[in-house]
Amino acid sequence: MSVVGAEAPVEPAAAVAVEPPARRGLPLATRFALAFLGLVSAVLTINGAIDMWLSWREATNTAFRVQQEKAEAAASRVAQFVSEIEGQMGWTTRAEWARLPVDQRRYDFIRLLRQAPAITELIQVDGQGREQLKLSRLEPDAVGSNLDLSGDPRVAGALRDRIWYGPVTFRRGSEPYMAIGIGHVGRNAGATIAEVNLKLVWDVVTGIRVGETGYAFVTDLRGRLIAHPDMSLVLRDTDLSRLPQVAAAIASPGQAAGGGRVIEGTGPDGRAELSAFTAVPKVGWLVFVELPRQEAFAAVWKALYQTLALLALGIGLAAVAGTLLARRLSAPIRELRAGAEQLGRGDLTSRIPVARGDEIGALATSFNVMAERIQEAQATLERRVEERTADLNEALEQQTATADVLKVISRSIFDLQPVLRTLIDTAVRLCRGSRGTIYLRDGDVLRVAAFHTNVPPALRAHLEATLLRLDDDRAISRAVRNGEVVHVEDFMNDPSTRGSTAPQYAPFGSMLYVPLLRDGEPIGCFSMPREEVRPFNSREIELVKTFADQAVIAIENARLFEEVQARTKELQESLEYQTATSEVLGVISRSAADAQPVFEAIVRSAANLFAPWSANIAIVQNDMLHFMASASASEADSQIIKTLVDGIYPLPLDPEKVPSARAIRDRAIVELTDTAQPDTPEASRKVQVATGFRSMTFVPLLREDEGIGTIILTNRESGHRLTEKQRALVQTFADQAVIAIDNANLFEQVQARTQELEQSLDDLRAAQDRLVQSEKLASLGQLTAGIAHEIKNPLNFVNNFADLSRELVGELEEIVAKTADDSLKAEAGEIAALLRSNLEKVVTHGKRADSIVRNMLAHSRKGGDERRAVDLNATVEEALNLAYHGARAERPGFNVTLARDFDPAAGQVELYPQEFTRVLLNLIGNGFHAVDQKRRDGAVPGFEPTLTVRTRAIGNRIEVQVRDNGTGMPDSVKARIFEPFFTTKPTGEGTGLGLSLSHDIVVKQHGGQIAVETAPGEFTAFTVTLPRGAAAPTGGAAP
Amino acid sequence: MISRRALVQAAAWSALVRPALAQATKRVAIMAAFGEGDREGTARLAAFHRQMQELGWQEGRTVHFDTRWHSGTLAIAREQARELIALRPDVMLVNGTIGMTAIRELSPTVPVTFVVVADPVGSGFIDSLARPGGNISGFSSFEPELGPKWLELIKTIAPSTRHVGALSDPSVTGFARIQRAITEAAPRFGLTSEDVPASTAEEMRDRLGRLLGKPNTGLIVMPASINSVERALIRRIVAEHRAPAVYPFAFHAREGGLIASGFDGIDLFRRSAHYVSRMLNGEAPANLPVQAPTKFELVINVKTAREMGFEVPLLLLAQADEVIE
Repeated sequence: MSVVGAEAPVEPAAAVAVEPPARRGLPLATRFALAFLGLVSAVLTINGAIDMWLSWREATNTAFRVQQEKAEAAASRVAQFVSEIEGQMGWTTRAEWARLPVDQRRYDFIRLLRQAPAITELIQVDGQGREQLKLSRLEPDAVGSNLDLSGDPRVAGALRDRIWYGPVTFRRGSEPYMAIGIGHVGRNAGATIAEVNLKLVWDVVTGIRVGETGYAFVTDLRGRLIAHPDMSLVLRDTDLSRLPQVAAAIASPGQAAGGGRVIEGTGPDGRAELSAFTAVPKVGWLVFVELPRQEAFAAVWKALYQTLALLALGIGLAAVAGTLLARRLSAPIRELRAGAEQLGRGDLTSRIPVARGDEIGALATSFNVMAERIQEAQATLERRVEERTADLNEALEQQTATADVLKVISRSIFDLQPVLRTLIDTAVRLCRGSRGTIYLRDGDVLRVAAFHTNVPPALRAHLEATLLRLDDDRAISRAVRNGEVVHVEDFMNDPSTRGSTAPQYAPFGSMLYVPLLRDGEPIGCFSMPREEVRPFNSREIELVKTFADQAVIAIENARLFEEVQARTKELQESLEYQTATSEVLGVISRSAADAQPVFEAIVRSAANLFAPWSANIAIVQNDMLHFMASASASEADSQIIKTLVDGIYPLPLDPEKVPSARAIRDRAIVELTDTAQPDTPEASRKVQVATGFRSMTFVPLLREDEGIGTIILTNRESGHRLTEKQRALVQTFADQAVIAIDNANLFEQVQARTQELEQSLDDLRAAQDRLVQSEKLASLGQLTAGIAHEIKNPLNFVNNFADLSRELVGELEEIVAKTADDSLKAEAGEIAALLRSNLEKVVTHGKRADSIVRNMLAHSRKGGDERRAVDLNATVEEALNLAYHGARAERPGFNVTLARDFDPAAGQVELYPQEFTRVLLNLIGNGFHAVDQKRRDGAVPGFEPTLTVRTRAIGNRIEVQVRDNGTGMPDSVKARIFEPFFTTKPTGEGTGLGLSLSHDIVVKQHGGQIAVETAPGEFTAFTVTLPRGAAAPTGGAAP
Repeated sequence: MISRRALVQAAAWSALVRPALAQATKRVAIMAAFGEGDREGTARLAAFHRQMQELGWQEGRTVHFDTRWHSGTLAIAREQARELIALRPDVMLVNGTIGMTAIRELSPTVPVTFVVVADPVGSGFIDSLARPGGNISGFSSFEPELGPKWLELIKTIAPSTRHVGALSDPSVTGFARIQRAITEAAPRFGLTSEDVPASTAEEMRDRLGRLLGKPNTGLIVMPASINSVERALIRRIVAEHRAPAVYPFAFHAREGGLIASGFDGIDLFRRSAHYVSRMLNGEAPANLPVQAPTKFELVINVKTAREMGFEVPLLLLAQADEVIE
């Protein structure tokens, strides 16, 4: 309590110091940072503004300069347009040119018109201004017209000025034209006049690119538009003199001639534009180059934004720098405050570091002095507290010792020695004894259980060697016998201890014997001597008794602990056995089909549990004993068994020679404890000789009291038997092995049965599919035949009346021919021709429909054909020839290699010859079509169309196969080929009934089968299988 | 007669398949000269469609075209004009003087771009070339000066020619000024001239036969739409009589006509797309000046000349832009 009290006065002081003083206004650091920031941003802003103003001026100047250069370039290109025309005209102005023959001059003019598309008219005049030659794109040429053109301003101008440019005129008020006149060289020379269509300046003007959206235009000196990217403005004869830039240009033509200047103008659409102009002095035109203000100043705006961004960045940096500086100034003040607060919290050993000599440093020193004073005062208080504490400690010690002993007891319950030693040591120390010994009773004698540390070795050896019997009258015997404390005040002179030999080894003074009592029953004794004679007081005796009681508890604890240990071990063993059994059960459930894994699991478990026993398993099969599995905890044993078994097993079931056989016969365990004995059966002797196993146990596997195998356990040592528990476990293993064998047998049976069932299910399905397919085809056939009957009559009507109408048209034509009206004749003739061609189409397609209907009707034929025996190969050969010649007739270029593979054993077959031939023709015809199709589709080079026909006699059936190497069929087609009306041929070539009919004939009429195999692009093979005769149904099966 | 039936049928079909159009799609009604399927006509329209596409119009999405072919017959053109106007198009593109005549009769308010139309001012379609004034503007074709040029060509290639007939469609007035120019200029070339009016194939067969039956007679084929439609017939009759003939479009000569002098019709169609586009964007035709052709072509078919027994002077060959061997 006094410790807490010493601290108490500091608490209120700390509370006062921690409470922060109320702040007025901004903190020092913030104020400093703001001032710094204000100063820097003012400087930056002024600098930025000046910079922006300068870059604005520079960018404006650049834009103006670029614009001016563009204008000059544009003007030079426009001037070039005019100069080019002038240049082209050049060679017609030579002195001798006018004297050339007129045809030559015409050629030159034609060439000139060719080379200068803008020129629409050319005139040559002589020195007197008379027209000599005129060529025009639009008007007729004039040769030597001598027309007096001297009054024409063009001629007058050309003769006077040598080169003369006419004003821009607008033809019919719309198209801009200009005349160029060039005087010829020489005395009294003529001139060449050209009319130029200024629309072609458009090409030049649109070719001038100014920025993204800028453009150029050309006006004459009055502001009339001559060229503009929007041609319609020119053709509309637009006067642009109102636009400020045009007005300015007209007002100061001199300036324009000198290279122009840049002004702010507006476009024809009123948009603000930066405009520059230059004059083309030769023709007196003004070329304007326009750039929308927005685009021109885009760069300036960009620069402005950049400057603003830089300004923002500068102010940001200033803010950061200001903050950092302010922090540095306020840091020591804060340090000082932190130090003061720490002192205020009571940490008096801490000192504020004084690193500076200024006022803050002095303040820190004062704080430190104050802290030192307080610390001294506190030290005095602490000393007084220490003295009082020492007193209390002594009292505590005894309590602590007792508690320590209890702790030791509770900690080491399974090891008695240290507990007893601690008890003796503590008791001796607390009771101020010299030594101590604990004896434990063992029947009628006492044995030494533990000594005090101080017991000298000689005495120790003496006490251990001496057996203390309890039946004499010595003090220790009395104490134990009566269960009471015996206090000998002077050992050397007391009658009950006289004669003891112990004092030879150590001095003895007073002596205390305290019995150890469990439930009032003495189980030992605690003896404690003092070397000098100084009797024990009652507090000390009580204390020793307490320790004696604790010794009893410790001894009892140790005994109980051992019991628990033994029980636990037992439980663990049976748990292991159970685990092994369940492991084997697990393997059984996992491998129902095979017993071998179970055998292996059993021997593995047995070998693990019964080590050093090895475990083996053998099974009776075919009256012999076969070795199945083996396991051993020792690797060497495993090796030995493995190499051995092949030489010995299988063994005959002879009970005399083979102990396993005896175990099986007797349905009982057979044990051999030493196989080296002469009465050992022969088989085991062999094993013993080879392996050195001396003990063997044979456990029979019993199924319903019948032995079917054995588990054999072997041990290297002689005379060993399995314990009762182990025998029970091996019995369990034996039962499990039997279950596994039964399982495997059952599994095999079930599997065989399942396979049988699956097979019969598959057969059933196939039969069902065949039935469904043939039902489907039969009903489609019926349907087809029914439809054909219904269509036949109307179709006859159509065909007959179409024929009739065709004849009637002929008659109509004859009648019309008689009429006098030519136009009526012509018109009627045309209509009659149309009618005739239409009717021909009706007849053609009617015939086709008729043939389809006839084929359909064949489905319902009543079997006019006789059933008789024919030679199969001859029938097939006949059909093949028929089909081949038919195909050759139909397709002139057709060619195919025919391969025959006839089986001489085919012989006579009973069938309907016509119908069967029909089937063959159909199949062969399809084959021809397929190979021909492949050839036409562009087969690989070297493709040889081949059709193979094969006959085969197979038992009481015959087989005919028609195979082609043509186009083949995809699966989707293959699935449908026997359906009526299904065809892959182009419209008009097939009726789609051929294969449907063939199917009918083969399956229904002949009771046979027709099958198809195919691979797209490779081959198709139809196989017809017929019974040889007897099994065929009677004819006309189809309705 | 057959062709008339086909046309009526085609009209019936087109009425059936007229689809309901989305609100945003602009509708352009096109009245094309020639019969449907004519090679030259198809080429011209293709040039127009291509240019429209380049100007950013997507057929079927932003613009829909309804096209009729009037075959140079005024009666059909009238019928189609009514039909097309009933479709309420945003802009009409009209080809040929016949087509423009038919449209003008109905005086619709829809903006109209015409292309290859002769003398639009003289025909009363517009006020002036520079400022058309109404809802019509476009690309004119021939100017009267070309008439005498044709006379000159005939005289150059067949100097023995004494008489010339100008084959034209009387149902339109647009060619009057060219015809007048021909009549006036003929004596300068030592020629007499006459108008040969024909609006149908029948009339052509009849009148051309009669004209070319006279010796030393040449033929000027005026740029009337019907003359383009029936060009095969004209060439056949001309070939029969081995008469010198001059045609107004390059394709005549390319297909076997003797000589053609005129302008590039395909170029005009291409340019007309700009006006259609501007009108679709709301510009008033009144402010769009009429544009005249700038590209002129002279095409001579030397093969035909050789077959007919004409000798083409070298000077003339030198002027030709294209010579068909």
